[in-house]
Amino acid sequence: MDVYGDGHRLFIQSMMSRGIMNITEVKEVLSECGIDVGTEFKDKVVRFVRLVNQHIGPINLEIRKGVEEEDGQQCYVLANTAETSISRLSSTYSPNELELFKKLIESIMENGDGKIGSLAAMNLTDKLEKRIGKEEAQNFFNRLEDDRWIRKNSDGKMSLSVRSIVELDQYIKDVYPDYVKMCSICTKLCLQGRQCENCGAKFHFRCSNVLFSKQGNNRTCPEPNCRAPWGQVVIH
Amino acid sequence: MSLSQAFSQSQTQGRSGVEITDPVEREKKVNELVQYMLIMDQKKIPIKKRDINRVILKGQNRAFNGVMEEAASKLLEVYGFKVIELEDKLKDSYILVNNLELSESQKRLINVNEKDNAEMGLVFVILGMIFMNQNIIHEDEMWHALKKLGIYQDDMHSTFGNVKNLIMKEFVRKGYLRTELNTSTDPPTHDIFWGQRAQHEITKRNMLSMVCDINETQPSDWTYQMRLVIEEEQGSQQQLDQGNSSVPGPSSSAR
Repeated sequence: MDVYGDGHRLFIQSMMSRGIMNITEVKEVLSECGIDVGTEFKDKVVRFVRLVNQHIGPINLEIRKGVEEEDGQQCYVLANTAETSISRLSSTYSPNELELFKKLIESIMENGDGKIGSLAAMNLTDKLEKRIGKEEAQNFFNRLEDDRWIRKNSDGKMSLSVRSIVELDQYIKDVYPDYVKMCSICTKLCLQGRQCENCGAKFHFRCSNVLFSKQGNNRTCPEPNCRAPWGQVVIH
Repeated sequence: MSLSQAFSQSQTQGRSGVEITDPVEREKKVNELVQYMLIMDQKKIPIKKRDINRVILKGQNRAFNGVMEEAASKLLEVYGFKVIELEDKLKDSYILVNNLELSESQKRLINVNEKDNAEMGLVFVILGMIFMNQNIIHEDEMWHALKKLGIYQDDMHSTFGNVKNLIMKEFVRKGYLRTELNTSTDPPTHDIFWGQRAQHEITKRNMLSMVCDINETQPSDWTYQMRLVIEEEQGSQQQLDQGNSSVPGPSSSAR
């Protein structure tokens, strides 16, 4: 039986200040917490996080595992489990900045590929009732990136990071039901991924990489009602 | 305040004699208070009792002490934060102080925001000046010393922006510094002291050894400062002996 101690307290403090950690960072924190991460790392993380979650559950916080959509990086995210998920954001950003963030999410959803170019993002300031200057907007986007709510993709476009996707999962499903697609493989929200040309189903890059490598040369769409042969897919 | 807000407030004050007896309701309030304090603490501005009564207890003010006591014990037990009630001019406000004894590398796991780190660095420099100058520094002496670091009171700074506002207003608001108007000078200027947050977050021994590291001296070279270090340590030892810890509730540091 694990005993809740200073290591767990340090972990939750670190999690609260960052909001998100990738596996490498989790490893770093756990080893600073006095845990030997050399062996059975996965098992230790799961047990560690479970114990922390038992303690922070009462204030509607939960550490959840998630995957970065673009590169498949595994992350742990501190999420609010109560419906007022925007509340923790609202202690960090001004109401008008949050409006801009909402517009950003809206565009990303409408674009269909889960991304937005930086110029298009800057132009969103025109849609706000209370104006935000371009420089101010740029600073805000930089802060969102520093706080890891959004990230720059390899093509230079902006996308929602796994922190946003985990934290705003319900919000996105509620507000953009017409644009929301679920990954046919993991059944979770999918903004960036591959799309079947036949049925339009969407899958995460990482999920479909795993599936296609199992299917070998006979790749098909994983959607049960479709199963159309999968075309020119390049696995990276 | 609008009239309707004023009305609803006077209403809730009418209910303030009610203690929270329902254990489920009470537990809910305790958890809300824990969450509220964790969120508000991010800005490092002391949390006011008045705001807690308004936002969390919604007028059930009588329950304050009991709910706060339970919330403080949870903050310590689960999150490793000590709740400190401030005094004097900051009476009826609270801060969270890290109860974990962290190494430098562990501290870096918590403070990841570069801007905050830079500001903390500046706070430490000023606190160091005050301490080495026998617990007080005059405003113009401070600005004179900061010039050597490229910080000028009337210039925008590339990292700190409006640095005068940051030091004289923000650091004071956060409780790192305390200022007093000194009317014996013309025009009147401020004397600057350690604020209450600094007193709780930073031990004098750490401050002295940090300063000594920088200017390559020995703590024992500084008799006045060393005496303060020892006085502080004897004071907190006495508090421990009397069981006079400022936070109620259990403290387990099992690792």
